[in-house]
Amino acid sequence: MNKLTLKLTAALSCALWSSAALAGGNVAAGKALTEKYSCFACHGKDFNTPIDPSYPKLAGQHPDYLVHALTAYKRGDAANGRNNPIMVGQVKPLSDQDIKDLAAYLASLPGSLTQHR
Amino acid sequence: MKKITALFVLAGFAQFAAAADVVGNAQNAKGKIEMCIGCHGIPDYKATFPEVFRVPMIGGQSAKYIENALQAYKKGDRKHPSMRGIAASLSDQDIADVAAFYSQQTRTADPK
Repeated sequence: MNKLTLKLTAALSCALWSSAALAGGNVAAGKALTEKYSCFACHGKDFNTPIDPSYPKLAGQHPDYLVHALTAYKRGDAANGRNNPIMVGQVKPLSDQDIKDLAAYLASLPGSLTQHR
Repeated sequence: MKKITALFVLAGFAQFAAAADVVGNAQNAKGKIEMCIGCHGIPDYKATFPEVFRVPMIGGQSAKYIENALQAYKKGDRKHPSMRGIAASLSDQDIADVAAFYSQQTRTADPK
């Protein structure tokens, strides 16, 4: 273990830690929540192959967007909400921390989504 | 009541037929995505109102999902103000074309 490797490891773990901290979510807790609430039943086991094309791929999506979307379903018909009946039902039991954890886990998964011109 | 039910059934068919007529064309989307790329074409672009978050990556999402999402903004089922404004300005054909375009976008290339 030379100095460079040590430095790189330190830098990498800082980067990993800060990206997790930015999202404020816990990946392991999020994984457990996807199992508890069977998110995969519609969005697919790898969260990149939904069972129906009308459902979104979630793997690798920006965690802050996922937090926004899940929170919007919590608001339902109110301002800045979303009223999709399935998702409104799904998010009902979730706390704000649960939502952050779910977002952190889903964002950590390898996916095929992209954003460029 | 029976008549009303029949009406609803017919209305349902009409909607289905209208939806079935619209086929998205990624080529035709090229003149329609200017409004999208200002946010969804910039990696890690952040929306700022009414909440701050990175706008979703939509490239590689299925056409059907993108279409549904845009229709939901247009109809008001999704209430994000900027997306409502944009979706309201799109026809069903525009929505289908834009959905086709982004569903075919990959990490390295735009639809041919």
